[in-house]
Amino acid sequence: MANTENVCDQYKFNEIFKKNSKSLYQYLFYKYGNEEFAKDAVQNSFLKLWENCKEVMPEKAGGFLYRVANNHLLNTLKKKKSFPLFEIKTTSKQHDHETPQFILEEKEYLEKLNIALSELSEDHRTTFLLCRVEGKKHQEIADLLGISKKAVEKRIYKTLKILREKLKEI
Amino acid sequence: MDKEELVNKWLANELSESEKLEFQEHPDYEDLLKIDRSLHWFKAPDFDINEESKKLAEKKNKGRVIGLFQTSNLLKVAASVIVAMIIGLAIFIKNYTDKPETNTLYSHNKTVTYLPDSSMVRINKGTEISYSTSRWEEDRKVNLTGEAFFKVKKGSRFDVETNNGIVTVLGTEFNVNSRDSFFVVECYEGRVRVNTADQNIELSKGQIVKFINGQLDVKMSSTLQQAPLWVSGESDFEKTPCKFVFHELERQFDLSLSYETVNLGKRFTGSFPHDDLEVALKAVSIPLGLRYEIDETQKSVVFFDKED
Repeated sequence: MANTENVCDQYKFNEIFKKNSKSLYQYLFYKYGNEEFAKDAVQNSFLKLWENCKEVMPEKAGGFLYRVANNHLLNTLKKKKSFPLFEIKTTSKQHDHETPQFILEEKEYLEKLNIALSELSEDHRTTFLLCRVEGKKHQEIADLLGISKKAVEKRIYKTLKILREKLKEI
Repeated sequence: MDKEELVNKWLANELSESEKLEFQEHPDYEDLLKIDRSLHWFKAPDFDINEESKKLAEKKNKGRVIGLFQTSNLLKVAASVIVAMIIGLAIFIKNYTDKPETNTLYSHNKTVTYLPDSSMVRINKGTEISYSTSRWEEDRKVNLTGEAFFKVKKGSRFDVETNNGIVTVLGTEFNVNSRDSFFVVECYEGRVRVNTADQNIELSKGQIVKFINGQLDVKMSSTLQQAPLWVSGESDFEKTPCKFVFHELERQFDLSLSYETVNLGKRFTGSFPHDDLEVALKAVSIPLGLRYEIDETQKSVVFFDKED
């Protein structure tokens, strides 16, 4: 009978890292809009998982990681949160055939979209972007966030509706 | 089919051919497609699992060494109590000293920011702006050194203070360029009033005023653009003394420009792009009758009068 059911096993721990780290990072990035913080929080969560390896069962590891990450960032970001959340990097090379007016309109549209995304609730934003930008399936996201597939579908639909409304305003 | 069902099927990539046609008739079809198309700009930067795993391994090893000196639980509790008391004290002090919070931004690259009332400010390279966040509602005042394009939300009076003068806005879109002895205000929408040490000028849509060394250089109506060109990657000038054009070149390309032998009385009318140094240098030097030399690092340029 196996006596180490927890995650103190180096190999098991690495498998958990391989399986969860990237999704956790993406979730945190879409929630808070900051790459550095997201990566730091992932490191911090896994460190804590290792420190507490005796008390955590493999199937509970995911939940543990997300909880720790959210708490960690809630405290760190109290003063540093920026608005809008995302930094849009455009290069001028892509605008060879377009008039300054068009480029300006595109930039303004993206800025509005940035604000609209930043104003969404964290749940809506993360669910929506994990699906539409990262291409994650509804079921994947449902498992990640601990909600039903139907709930994921509803969130995405609602988010799209809100975004459309906000972008219509001139 | 119900509109919601149709959208959900589109989202899940499950539309049949006929349903696809139906979806194209959806009133929001174009808006929805545009949103979806634009989302890739917000994609999370890459996460390299191997790299992050290595970083983690390093931290884990550090932890093991420090682990030999683990503090006891009692000390940990005492520490957290002290921290809590200090935080409590800090909050107490903050609430009773009532200092106005100021936000200061310096731009190393063109950027855009929003003021507390959602007024938009586009900031050019090498520009600093500051404003009070706590006093914003009573007093909409922005301090500016450099160049910025403002889109002001209707409301109370809005001022932009610079070393060269104050620009007061009467609800609108305008560009302020305040660099040392060069001060230019362009009004794109609405009206603005410009106050310098000895001048008080009102501009309406399409008008520009230029001050050099505090003296009124020109006031004119320009061909109506919607916004300054620097926003979309080009700097443009009209009868501007060449020195200021050289300074803007330096800023946009992070250069060091020498022009000792150049006749600074020359004025430049024209523009240069921000994404191609050679084109920019030619655009400036040719009309001014200059030639130039760049060093290998592409960071140092010298302008010479052609007659030399």
